[in-house]
Amino acid sequence: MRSVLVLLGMTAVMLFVALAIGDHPVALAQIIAVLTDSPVADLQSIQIVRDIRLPRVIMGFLVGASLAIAGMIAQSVLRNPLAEPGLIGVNAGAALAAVIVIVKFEVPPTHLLSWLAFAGALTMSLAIYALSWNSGSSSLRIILIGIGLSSLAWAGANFISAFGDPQAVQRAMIWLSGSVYNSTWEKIRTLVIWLAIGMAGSGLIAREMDLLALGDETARARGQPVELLRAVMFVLCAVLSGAAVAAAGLVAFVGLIAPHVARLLVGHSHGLMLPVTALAGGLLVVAADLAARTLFMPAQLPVGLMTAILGAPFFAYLMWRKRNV
Amino acid sequence: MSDQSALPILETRAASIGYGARLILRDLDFSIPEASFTVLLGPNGCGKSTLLRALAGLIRPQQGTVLINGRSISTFPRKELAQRIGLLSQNQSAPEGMRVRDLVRQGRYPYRTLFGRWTKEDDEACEEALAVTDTAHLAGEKFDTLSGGQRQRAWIAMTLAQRTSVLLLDEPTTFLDLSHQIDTLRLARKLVRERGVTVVAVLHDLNQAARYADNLVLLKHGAIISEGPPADVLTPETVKRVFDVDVTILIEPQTKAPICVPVEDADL
Repeated sequence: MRSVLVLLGMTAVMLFVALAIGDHPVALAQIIAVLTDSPVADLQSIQIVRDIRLPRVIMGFLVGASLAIAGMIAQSVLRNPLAEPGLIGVNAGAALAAVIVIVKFEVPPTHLLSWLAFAGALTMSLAIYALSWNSGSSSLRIILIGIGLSSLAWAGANFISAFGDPQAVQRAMIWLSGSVYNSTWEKIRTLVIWLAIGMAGSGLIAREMDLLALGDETARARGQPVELLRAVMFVLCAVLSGAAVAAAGLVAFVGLIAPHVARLLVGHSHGLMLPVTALAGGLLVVAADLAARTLFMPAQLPVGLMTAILGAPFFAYLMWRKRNV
Repeated sequence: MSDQSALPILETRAASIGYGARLILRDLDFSIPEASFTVLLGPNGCGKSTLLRALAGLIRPQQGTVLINGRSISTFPRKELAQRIGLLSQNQSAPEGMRVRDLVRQGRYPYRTLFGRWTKEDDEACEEALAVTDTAHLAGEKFDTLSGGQRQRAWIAMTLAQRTSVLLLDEPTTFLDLSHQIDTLRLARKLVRERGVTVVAVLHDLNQAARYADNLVLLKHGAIISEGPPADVLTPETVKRVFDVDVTILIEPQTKAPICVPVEDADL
């Protein structure tokens, strides 16, 4: 439990640091003044913190939390520690939808685009689930069909890009590359709703996932409706990761690593893992975004790149620390 | 020792069972008396595990029915069936790092509802299962630190925590050393004698089966060749027919249990 408190503390500190650092540093006192609506806050701080950094930090946290929980469910439903939400097709579906919308129809990246990308992600993952159904679903079949259909969708996206207007293609690529740069309160509201639905659903079935982890046969012999549970998990995973991708593009590695961090900290109970996974994922994306926008100032890197750069060594450290346990 | 007049608790009636187009068991009529220890024996692929899965309601017969206390098991909601019939399958695997107590607690699943809390009764069932299987001292241990025998006993404890009147065990003694094999068989017999549980197990060792079971069922190619008390079932003819091995049957003087000894040519 101590390690969970440490994680909580790290997250709180990271949120403040992310609000303070940037092109124009803001003092801690000013941040608190802005957040508490105190009259000592100056106009510039209000503008920077409330209108630019706060939405971005919150968005980063929510995206990370969504992807992390989706990753936990993916690893559980696919019975594979290397699984991540991309395996069920959300990335490919969102990418194909985004490329079609931006390149083919030249729609500017607005709120509508997010919804279409979300729809693309959901459609793709449900298609994978439906195609892998053969009088019951199996983890391996879902993975194989997921990889196959995703490749097809990526090929489609690349095909459209190859013949598209270069400027539109570039816009699509930037949108896809994973960034929380253009975060708005409106986007946040949408993601919060999906995340709340996803978390509540995951919380409800946490105990069911614990039993399913013992294997299909064992779960069935205890009276569990295994196929129904898997379908629910699939939908939850698709909704959570699809909403995150729609909000921020493709952010790699979070869905893979956050559940492992949680497992190392609190063990295998999904009920305990759920909040810790969300926290770890949120922290990782906020930290990655901070690094992405400050390390090479004034250049801004995509946050998706930084999650991998930051996440991999941390993961290695955890593995190293646990090597003798 | 066996009480043949006991009512059947589990029955199959004209049951044909298989996977898709492939039938494993054909037109099977057989019954298991209540509060008895029945062992299914037969060569690999004869349909023992399939029969066990059908008795647990995990595969539905393509024809015929499986009944528990005279009622078709397909009419039970899943959880209610799991309150009556417990199955321990072969080749179990628990997630790394899971603790024994958490595994055993999963056995209470059939009694829990979506929002239901963990009850005192759940606790008692788990503690009892741990005590009976001699795993109470391992409750806090992580699964991957246990020996094969300890793991198997933890799985049995999980199945016992389910508190079912029927216990189906698929090769429960595989991977155990002799002393734990005997412990497991004694435990099965104790559950039958002291609590009136009906145990059906798949075993490979004919002599252990004959020593501990009330009834033996010999299966070959999805059909029952012989069933009844061990002394009646294990004969040189049936063993030859089912396993294609020539044996001599000796009688163990103390319990009168039959013992199969393979016949070898003197010059080998």
